[in-house]
Formats: sequence, structure tokens, C-alpha cells
Amino acid sequence: MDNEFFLIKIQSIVQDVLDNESLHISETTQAIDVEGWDSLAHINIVSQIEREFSIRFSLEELGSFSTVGMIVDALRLKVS
Amino acid sequence: MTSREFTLADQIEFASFSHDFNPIHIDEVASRRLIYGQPVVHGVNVMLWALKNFADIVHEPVLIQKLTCSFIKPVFLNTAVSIEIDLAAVEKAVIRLKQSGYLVAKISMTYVEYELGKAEEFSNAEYSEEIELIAQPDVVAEKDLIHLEGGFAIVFDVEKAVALYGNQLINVFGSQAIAEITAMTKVVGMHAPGLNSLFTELRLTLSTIDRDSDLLSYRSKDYDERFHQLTVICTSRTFDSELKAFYRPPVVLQAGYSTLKKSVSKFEFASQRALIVGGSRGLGEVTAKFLAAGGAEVLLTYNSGFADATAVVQDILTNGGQANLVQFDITSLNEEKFDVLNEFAPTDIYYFATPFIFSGQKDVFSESRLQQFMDFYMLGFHRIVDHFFKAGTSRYFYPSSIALDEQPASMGEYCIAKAAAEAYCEWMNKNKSGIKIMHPRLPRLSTDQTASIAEVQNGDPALMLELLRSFCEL
Repeated sequence: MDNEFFLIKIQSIVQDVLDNESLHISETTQAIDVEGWDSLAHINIVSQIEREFSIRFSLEELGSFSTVGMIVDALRLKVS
Repeated sequence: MTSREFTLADQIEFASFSHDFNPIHIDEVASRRLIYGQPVVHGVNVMLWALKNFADIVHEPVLIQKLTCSFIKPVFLNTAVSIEIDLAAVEKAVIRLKQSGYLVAKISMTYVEYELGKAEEFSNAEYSEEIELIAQPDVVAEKDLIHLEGGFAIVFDVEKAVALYGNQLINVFGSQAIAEITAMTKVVGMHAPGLNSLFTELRLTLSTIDRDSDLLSYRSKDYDERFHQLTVICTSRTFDSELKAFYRPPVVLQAGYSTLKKSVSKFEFASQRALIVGGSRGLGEVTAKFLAAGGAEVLLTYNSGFADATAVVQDILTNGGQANLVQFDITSLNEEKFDVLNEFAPTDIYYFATPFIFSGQKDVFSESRLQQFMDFYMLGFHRIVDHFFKAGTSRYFYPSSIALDEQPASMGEYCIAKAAAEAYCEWMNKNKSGIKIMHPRLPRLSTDQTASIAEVQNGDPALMLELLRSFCEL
């Protein structure tokens, strides 16, 4: 599974949480760039990613998620 | 598009209907110290209004198979909530609720249409209509959340439900389903997590077990300490449910006078008659205690928090300090109010009057929010300075904020108002002979205002002591 696979999955989750099907994100996307992606939405997004992949991020990992790419990297390491 | 506003009166009605008396929904004074700084609408009240609108469209009785309701953002009072109902798929509905352009709740539901006649059988489960007196929510320590377990007999007043939402809600969903959905807000707001709760998600699944009982039982399934989020499992006559709720940060209590007094020399502020505008809580409260501990005579003002202000003054008085309080609304001053303050003849004035700080949205610039911040931070302070400088008070402490260095996305209006106030302080210092206004940029300190569900680092308000000493030397 490559970064593209995880990115598509994350995009789908973000679209669902933010209720915006036309939303497109990339690895450089930051929460601040996306309308509605506030701290509560962030918790929902992370929770859904964890549920989807049956994983759990540590507090340290959560603190490092400044871009979508950082989430992709952490997710890839957890899953592979 | 259908829309409505929820008022405080609606909230109180819903509280007596649902028996969820959590103060974040019904108490304007208590909720100003909670995470949103004002009352927010019960999520289940919004949800039932949404289901009522669905019922008005479909007319025929339905049996909910699965329902997920996400409470995405707080719903504030006196601001229109709009609803969009999507019935594009067969026996499936998606309902979106928006406020100020933002999605605040989303309901996804699958259901089957009932044959007439059968619906009545489904609707007629009886629940007690016994009136429940106003109750206090359980106060649960965070460490105990994972062990919660309990239950109660569902109380449901069908006439009140009809009065609140109309006949169609009961006709379409049946009193049984509505009674059980209504009871979910009581589970979260009163028991699990109880007082310190924010309901975030409700998932209902039609139970395969026929339970002939009006009992609802609940137990903790998981507590995620990273997000302070509790998951609760509920069983009732019709549904198996899973609820998610945040453990909302409790009210931030500042250190007591006796504790703060240990850091202060007995007479270091003894020359001051200190007027503290906004001294009932937070940094104003800490300042009042430090100054009183150092021998100052303190008069603190409060706007609506009489009980909080009284507690601060009592703490100081009973431990040997001098303090008094007066009600004072900085946004609607009149000469009569100033007369009370004139009698005190302050030598030093500390200005902490503030509305709720974190009301901004990162994608929205609100003129009304800017006006509110300007009224408090700029114009209110100007009115104080303008009045008291003429009366002979030359020393003013004005707390600015490190937010001006950081410019957070959701705090544009706040930063602009604070920047204007800083410019005002500098302009006055330069052009008014004899005036001294200190306006340090304070870091994020632990108060009601900075309490957050997300992990944030807040400093110790005791930091104020060094600033008060610096102000003394000014």
C-alpha cells in the first residue's frame, strides 16, 4: 500500500466528517487550509482513521500531525 | 428552507421534558464559565426538531432501523438553525442542520415504513409521566469514567412532546422511540459523564431483543484519554445504543487567597487602592488576591457573576485582607455606576473585563464579533481611563495578549481589538502627561477562557505576581 492509497482513504474520511464530497486534499494540506477542519473535527477525523484501520495513534504521533502527509506517514508505518 | 431559533425558554422547557438539567444548557451565569462561554442547545432537542421536520414530510409511520446523529458543533441560542432533509434513497434519510453557515449536526437514518395499525401497537408503550423535580447532574472524576454503570426508568410526557414538536413526531416515530431518544440526553448530561459532558454522537440500532421494560441501562465501554472522550453503551426497550461524549473541562478554579499570600510580602502593595474591573474569576480574581495579600485595599467589579465575586471577596476577607465588590457592566456605563467607583478613589486600575474569547471561526470575519471585542477591550477601557484620569487616577494595568504575536486563524476580531487597545495605551502614554499604562502581552494562562478539550499548554496564572511587581515599579 503506497501513500496514494492512504491519501485517498484519508480524503474520503475527511469528506465524510466535514460533509464535503468535493473536498480534495494533498499531502501538503494543513487543517488550517480546510474550511471546517477545527480541533473537534480533527478528533473525529483521527478517530475515524483509527477505526477504519484498527490502529491507535500515540499522543506523540497526534502532536506531530501538522500536515496530511504526516498522518499518511504515521499511518503507513502503523499498518505495514 | 425551514429554520428556527432556540431560546433559553425553549431550553428550560426541554430540560423539564427530558430531565437533562445540565447547566451548560439552561444556566446563563454558570455556562459563562464553561467551554463555550454561554448556554448551548441540547443536541437531542435539535435532533428531535429535525425528526419532527422529517415526520412532517413523510407522514407515514416508520420504524428506525439504524440512526447516527453527530453533534458536530455547538448550537447557540437565538441564532437560526436551518435544516436540509435528503430523502433521495429508499427508506434512508440524511438530515443536515446548519447554523451560521456551519454544519452543526448530521443525522443518517435507515428505517422501514410501517403498516398502519401496527404503528399504534409500537407507539403505545407506556412510560411514567411522573414529574421529576430539577436534579443536579452527577459529578464524576475523570479516573472513574470507565467504571460508570447505571440505569433509570424512562419518564415521558407525551403531551409535552406534542406541545414541543407537534403530533406528527409521535404519529410517525411512535412515543416509544421518541421516549428512548429523549432519554439519551439524560444519560449523557446527568450521568455519563454527567456534569462535565458534551454529547458528540448518538448511534441507535433497533434491538433484536424484545425487552418489555421501561428501564434504560447504561455502562461505560471505553474512555479515550487522548481526546477525553467517553463511549457509553445503552440498552432500552427498542434500541441498543452507543453514545459518545467528551469529558468537558471543569470550571477552572484559581488558587485560594491563603495559597497565593505565601508568595507575597505583607506590605508590597499597601499603597494601593486597587480597582479591578472584571475581578470575579480568572486573572482578575488572581490579581485581586495578590494585591490584597500585599496590603492593597481592593474593590473588584463583576458583571453577572455575583456568586463568584462574592466568593473571591469572602476568601480575601476571612483570611485577613481588604476587599469589596460592586456590580458594573463596562458596556453600559452610567454616571450612577461611576459614583460608586468614585467614592473608592482608586490609585491603580486593573482592567480584565472580557467577553468569551474563543467565539471566532477560522474562516469567518464577523463585524458583530469585532464590535463586541472593541466594546470590551478598547471602548470600555477608554471610558474607564477617560473618567478616572480626570479624577486623578494615573496608573492603569491593561493585559494584552501573546495572541497578537501568533495571530491564530480563528481570532482575527480578538487580535484586532487587542491591537487597537495597545495602540490606545501607547497613544495615551505618549500624549497624556503623567499617565502610566502598562500593557504586557500575557501568555495563555489557565482560566475558564482557555480551558479546552484539545490538549493545550496553559501557564500558571501565578505568573501575574511578577507583572504586578513590575507595574509597581513603573
